[in-house]
Amino acid sequence: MKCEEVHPLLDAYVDGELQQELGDAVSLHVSQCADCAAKVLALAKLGVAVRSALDEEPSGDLFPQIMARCRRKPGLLSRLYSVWRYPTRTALAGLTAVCVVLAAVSLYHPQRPAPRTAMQPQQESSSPVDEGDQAFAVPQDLPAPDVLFPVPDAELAPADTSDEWSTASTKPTSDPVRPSSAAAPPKTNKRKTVRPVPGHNQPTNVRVDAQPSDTAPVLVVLAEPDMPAEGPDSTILGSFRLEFPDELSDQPSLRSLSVVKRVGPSGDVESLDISFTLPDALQPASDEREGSDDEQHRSDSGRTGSAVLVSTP
Amino acid sequence: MHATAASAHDAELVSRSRAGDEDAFRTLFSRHYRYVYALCLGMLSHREDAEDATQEVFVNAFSRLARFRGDCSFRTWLHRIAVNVCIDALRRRTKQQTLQADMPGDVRDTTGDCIAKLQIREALARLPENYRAVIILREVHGFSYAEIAEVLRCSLDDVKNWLYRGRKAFRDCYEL
Repeated sequence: MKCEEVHPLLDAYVDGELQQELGDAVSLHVSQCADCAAKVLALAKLGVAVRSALDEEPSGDLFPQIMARCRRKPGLLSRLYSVWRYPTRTALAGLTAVCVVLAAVSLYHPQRPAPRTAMQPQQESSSPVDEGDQAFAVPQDLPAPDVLFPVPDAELAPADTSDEWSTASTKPTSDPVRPSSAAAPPKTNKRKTVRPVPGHNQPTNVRVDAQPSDTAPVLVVLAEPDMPAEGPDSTILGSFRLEFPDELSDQPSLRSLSVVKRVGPSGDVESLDISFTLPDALQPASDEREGSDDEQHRSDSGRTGSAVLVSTP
Repeated sequence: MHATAASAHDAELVSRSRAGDEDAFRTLFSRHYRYVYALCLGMLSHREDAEDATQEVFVNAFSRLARFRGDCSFRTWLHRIAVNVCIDALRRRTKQQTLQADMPGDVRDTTGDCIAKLQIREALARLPENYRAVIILREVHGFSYAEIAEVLRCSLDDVKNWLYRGRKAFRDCYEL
């Protein structure tokens, strides 16, 4: 090897990062070339110098101060241990998830289309889209938004299961035509607006906006765009992201929820799985930029728990 | 039965720390604090700042331990925190507050070694942050290029390039 070939390799050679064969070739050259040997020596000296300059102990035992700082941070120790030491708390969070889902589903229900008369069908099917829905304009040949959640009443509210689901917001209608805005009933502050987007028949593209009620926190229901169904027979009913008012923001509540319907081979609903995200402090996921100040304000997404709400044979 | 804290692997100590075992966290601290302090000292060139930063690194690590997924080693994760804490500290320094490297810790050491250490820290302080970080992680911590890339979340080529340029710039600032 020539010097000009060896020089760019010397750093990696000194660091032991060259492959065996190349390292041997460089070693042979260095043993025969005084100039390259001097460069290797200089690199080695640099390492020794930096190591010696930074070889120093802190002035005192830092550990007590670190633990004191941890204790001064409100809730830091309890946050660290909470999930692992207090399973009850975690279980309560799961219970809260179920309650919030029930509340959310019962609070927000779709606009029902006006009853269609024998004189109306053509006008309804060709009626323009509501101005407010332009961003999510619906092709006229698409079915009604309620069909986006094709869950029969009987499935969501079987006679022998909870009544809450009988008033579920995802209760479908059999009307395949999207109602015109003129025919839709007046909006109330607890009624949700369903805005399908093209390709709406894929549940992951569904977007559902909910208006805030007077008492409940703002609820925005969004299907997660990249969240796959959990199997060929699964349908994502919706993802519930809760945005709490400021005064409630420090509550150890849930950040988001999602509901997945699992349908068995016979077509019956096997279960409705509720998944939820715990607040940041309880998140186990590590971050892209650990330790940075910015990270302190960032929310995590991701689900950390689940609960089966309904199970029917 | 748990192994004694001193002989346990980092992963086990992390697990025990999560469960509230303060002794396990103390062992993790004892095992790594000198490296973290050296990194902070090399990055910040000032002892008090380095001690503050070291504390902050472990406070941050402690508070985020529940979120450590074990995708990388604890050492890598801890040094990633340390680099970020140092970079944040450097950015907080205004131009008016630019600090000179302070005297090495042992005040009795007034020999030429002490002066040399000071000059070396000053030479490090003149390098860009990324050059400084790769040199310290390589020379002091003995990290491989791959580990440095993992800590700094950069490519292997970046590590090689920064090491080459950083060493050259260091030699321009400090004659060995």
